[in-house]
Amino acid sequence: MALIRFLRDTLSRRRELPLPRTQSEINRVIEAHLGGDPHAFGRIVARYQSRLINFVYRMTGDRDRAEELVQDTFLRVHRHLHRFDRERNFSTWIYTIAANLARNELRRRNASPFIPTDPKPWLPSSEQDAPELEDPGHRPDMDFDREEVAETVRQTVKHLSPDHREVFVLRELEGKSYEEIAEIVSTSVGTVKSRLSRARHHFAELILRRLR
Amino acid sequence: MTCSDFRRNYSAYRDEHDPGLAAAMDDHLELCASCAAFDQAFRDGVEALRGASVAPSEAFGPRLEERLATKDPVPEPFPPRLPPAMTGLGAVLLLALAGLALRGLFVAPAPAAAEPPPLVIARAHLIPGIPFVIFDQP
Repeated sequence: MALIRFLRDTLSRRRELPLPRTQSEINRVIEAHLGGDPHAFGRIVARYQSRLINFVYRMTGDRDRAEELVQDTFLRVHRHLHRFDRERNFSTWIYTIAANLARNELRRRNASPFIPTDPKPWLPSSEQDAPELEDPGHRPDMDFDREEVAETVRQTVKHLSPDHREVFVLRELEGKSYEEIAEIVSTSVGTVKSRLSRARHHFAELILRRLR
Repeated sequence: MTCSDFRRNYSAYRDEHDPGLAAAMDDHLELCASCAAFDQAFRDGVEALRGASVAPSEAFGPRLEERLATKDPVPEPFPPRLPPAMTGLGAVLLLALAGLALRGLFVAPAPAAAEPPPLVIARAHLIPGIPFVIFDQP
């Protein structure tokens, strides 16, 4: 019950507390959590939840499953945080956990082709969450174009192989360095460079073909 | 710079680590409509992906609180993937073992070493009288 209370308090106080950005700030939050601060873990969740959900969603193409996998990620982090080596980069660590879970999901899906993927269209969050208000400058044709492009791009990413999709998303959308990506996907920097180069070419060629 | 050079260096160009390369690539883009379309398609695609991000659902926070509070067991992952070098080494060892096993099945065992012939030593006969010794033929 105390845990529920601290998370609820934390989420309500999220606006008051600045989220940890740098590695030293994150280390301070980790120390606070290990020292018994009931609000600290909620700050880690608030810092990473959106980024991880988008990363796993782009990997798996299933929004609901992505949320579950990110929850699994936070449960693992919560359980093993005392073992985290604070000399390492926390962001790389948490992305590694999420990437492993996403990869397992894709492997499981390959093993069981009857597991369905997300049937919902992949719309921008602003369009999914926004209340339906009348906007005098609103142009439905522009919305259609944007949705169409978003759907086209989503389909294009799905056509990349999982290995290529992973490095592409980590580099182009998450802004990770080659070294960080190599650590996250457990491979060498050279392999990351080669996969990324192929992924970029494939992506551009597919987009060109689809948008023509 | 040719179109082939442009495509080969495109990933490095995207990373913006080499100003010299970037200048040469920019020059090529001004002259080549095909590579300019390739580059524009890539940038538009990435931009669209960035804009199509999703926010956590309303249920995400409460569900996570619940799972943390109940210590919901986390499904164990598959065993971690080995690095390619280790996988290759494992495959080589496996093949070597299989080869040895097959060799054992199909190659006839070497014949057992033949027993050495008995050592025959001529026996001496002492003939009384004349001091003369003869030997039996082996």
